[in-house]
Amino acid sequence: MGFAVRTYNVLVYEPEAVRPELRIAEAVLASVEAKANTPFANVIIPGLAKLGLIPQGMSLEDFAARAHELPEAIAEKMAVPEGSSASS
Amino acid sequence: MRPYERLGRVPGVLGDFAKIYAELAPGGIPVTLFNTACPGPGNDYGRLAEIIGEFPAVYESTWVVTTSLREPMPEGFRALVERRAGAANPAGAAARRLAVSTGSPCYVPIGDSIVIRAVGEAGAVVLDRLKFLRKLGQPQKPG
Repeated sequence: MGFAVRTYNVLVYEPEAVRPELRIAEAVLASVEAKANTPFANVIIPGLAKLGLIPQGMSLEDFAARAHELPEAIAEKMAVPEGSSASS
Repeated sequence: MRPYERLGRVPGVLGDFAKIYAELAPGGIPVTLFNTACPGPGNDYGRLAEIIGEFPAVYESTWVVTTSLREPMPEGFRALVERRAGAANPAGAAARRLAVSTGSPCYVPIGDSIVIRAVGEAGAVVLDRLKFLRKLGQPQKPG
């Protein structure tokens, strides 16, 4: 079964007039990205590596860079990266 | 973060906004985050409200808006947000909420903790919307 990581685009606008202490846009993007990717990077990728479906130590970036053919039973159970974010 | 890394920052002026938009729009934009906690002078939100039609993928997206009681949004933009949020939406309460206000960094006395909380709240709302839209299976490309 074909499986590819999908990336979502989140557009951010934070005018220069925002006071430095109130600038949160970059931190929000980082927060979304971390929350979205952590379960996938920490659970699913190591699990696939353990099953020998992908190389050991493969990073999320490397995994996301191409489509994968995975056994249907596994692919269907995989939660896609939680709405991966910010065109990461 | 790649488009932002290429730009070197998140958009702070409308020209930068247009550049990032041009990069992201072809893939669809499910969520747009606006931090409106800024004082009037130099605040482009009034102008943005006037030209938002030039950014159809943004118009189609869900807006997540961080607000500030101390620095009210320009009237035109505020009206746009309220209309999208549903209160003034002629389609009524059942209308799909296209704008969500969240995570004000300065509703209360400003301090690190409230800013951190604002980041957490806004991040959670963005992620929730992404998950929700994924469930709907929307590519979020402009029509």
